[in-house]
Amino acid sequence: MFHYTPDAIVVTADSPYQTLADLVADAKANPGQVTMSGSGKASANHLAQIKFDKLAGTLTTYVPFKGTGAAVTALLGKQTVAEWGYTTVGAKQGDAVRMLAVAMENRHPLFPDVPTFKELGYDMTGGAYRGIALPNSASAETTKMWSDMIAEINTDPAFQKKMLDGGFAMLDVDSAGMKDFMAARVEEYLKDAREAGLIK
Amino acid sequence: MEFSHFLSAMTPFNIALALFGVVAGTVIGSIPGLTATMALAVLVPITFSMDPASALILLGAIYTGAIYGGAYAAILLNTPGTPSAIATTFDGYPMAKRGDGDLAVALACFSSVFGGMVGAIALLLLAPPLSKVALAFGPVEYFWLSIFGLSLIASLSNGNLMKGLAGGAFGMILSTVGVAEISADIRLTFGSQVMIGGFGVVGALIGLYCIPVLIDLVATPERHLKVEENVKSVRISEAFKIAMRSKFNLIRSSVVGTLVGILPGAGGSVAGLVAYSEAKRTGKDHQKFGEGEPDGIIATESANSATVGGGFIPTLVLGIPGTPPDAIVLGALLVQGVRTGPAMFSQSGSIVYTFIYGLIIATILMLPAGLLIGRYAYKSIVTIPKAVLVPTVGFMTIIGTFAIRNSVSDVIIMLCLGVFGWLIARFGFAASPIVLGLILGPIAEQGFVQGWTIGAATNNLIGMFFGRPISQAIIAFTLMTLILPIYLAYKKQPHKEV
Repeated sequence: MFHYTPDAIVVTADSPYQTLADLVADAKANPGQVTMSGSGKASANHLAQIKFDKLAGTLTTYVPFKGTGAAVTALLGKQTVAEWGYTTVGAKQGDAVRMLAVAMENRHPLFPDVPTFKELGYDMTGGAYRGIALPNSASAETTKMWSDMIAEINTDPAFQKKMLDGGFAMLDVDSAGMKDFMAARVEEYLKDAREAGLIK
Repeated sequence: MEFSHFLSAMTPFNIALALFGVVAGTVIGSIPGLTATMALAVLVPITFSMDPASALILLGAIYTGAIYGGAYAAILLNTPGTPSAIATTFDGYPMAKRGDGDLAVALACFSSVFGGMVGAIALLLLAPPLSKVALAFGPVEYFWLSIFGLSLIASLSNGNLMKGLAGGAFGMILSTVGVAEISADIRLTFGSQVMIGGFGVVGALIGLYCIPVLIDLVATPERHLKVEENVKSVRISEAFKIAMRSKFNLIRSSVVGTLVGILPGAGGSVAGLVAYSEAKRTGKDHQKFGEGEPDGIIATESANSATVGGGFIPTLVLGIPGTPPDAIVLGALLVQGVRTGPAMFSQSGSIVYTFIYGLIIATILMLPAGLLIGRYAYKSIVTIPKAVLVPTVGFMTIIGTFAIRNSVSDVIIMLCLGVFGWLIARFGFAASPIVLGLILGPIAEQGFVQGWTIGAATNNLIGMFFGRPISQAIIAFTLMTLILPIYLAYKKQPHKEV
């Protein structure tokens, strides 16, 4: 894995929700009425929404759209009141939107004013992870070579700047650590999905 | 919007790119099965080494050419070369059958150039405000828009209302096969892995339109199209005169096309359909539409070409593709490191404006290039003996269908649908309602489910579906489209008694 786009709750700049607390309060007062767009069903956005609802004890309504592009259009067009998106949405849409929180360990350098979920008391980090995959038949040397190459690119300051400016977050998981990384994610996602009734 | 950008667009390299793009696009678009999206996807790697503005100009030119090229097969073979040319078959093929094929092709060229210019100028001057239109269209509006589209199918079925509706409904059922739009359930696959991919639009289009034409060509001994002995070049000025007489139709259809192109998810096929229906509704001779009325071609070709420029508006301003080919263009831009979105017009203004001027140049270049290629295409289709035409077209349809998903099962499905289409044509069922149902079904389903989810969550279902101003306007149009023909027929009756 070489980077991820951290989950973030995005609202329009003129939204009445100034902070995450506002959204949580509205969701608690009107269960089910806070509509949040997102990309796809049972995707990173959807699982983030399930997890947050569990942590915050709220009931929000997730409205799936075809891809982040459509989800952002829905938010900007005020079809829904908020969006489960990513930091990249905040970076791309600039002043048109406001992010209420990001699912990272520390605040994103591009958005020093946006708190993390952890700071606000919700223990969630994660997002859409991206990495490189090789066919199963690739040898151990080939795998290590690719893993080292990607790790090296990740250390290049110019590359890092480009990623961060786009709203991405860096992540380094090499080929040796992938098994445990994936196992941990699988366990986490399956648990949330089962509790939410997405899978039996 | 400075003049300097226009000059950068006018470099010999860029003009050569525009010309090459338009020609390549026209040729690829005219082959049934090879769509504009495919043309772009195949040729996009060429642009990786170019600078962003030139890359965009090439892609825009290919796109423009492909949307125009789809008209050739629509007019001469009753098969839309691209989905955007579906509505062009309504009047294009009848015109070809009675010997006016070259007139139709020339008309298509003039209309496409005009429509493309309107779209490109809208992009140049009005992109930021027009992008707000894209935002105002929510799931419910898309739902009603597809219902409107389906009502158009019904009203265009000239007397065979029931058969048209049945075709549209069948098309919608076909669209449900495979993975569902929102809920991702697997439906109607009967346990088969093959059917999970569902019925692709292009495969169904080729099957339902082209195969019956090929079967009929083989079944009858006459020539495919009448060959006229008069000099062909006279028809270009004739086409121009006809186009000038229908100025209002041209302008209105181009505006409709631009607006439909702005809506992400609605493409040239919807634009052509809406423009055609409006032209028919307001035209002097309602009956002539569908039997080879030039105004029909003017409406559909200007509308679908206007979606090129219109589609770039949400693509560049919002970073959301307006039409499927725009997604490829977005990808190409990303590779170039150009970030689309609200900042694009200010940060990368030179790239954007150079591109838009390049698009305008490409559209202008389409006039001579299109007329030339059109004349050549018409001559070859008309003079080729059937023994060569049928196998060639058949071969291209198989290649085209296979190329979409590299799947032999797609080809088999296409052939089965083709035979089915030929059979039902003998009972008076046309292909267009089925294909349009197939296209509009997913849009309707997605809009309905999303609208329902939001409406149910906010306890505002009725208000959601019936209370929004844009939806109300679309519903009004739908009712007008459905009721007007019945009302007009009723009004005629008392006069008969006298």
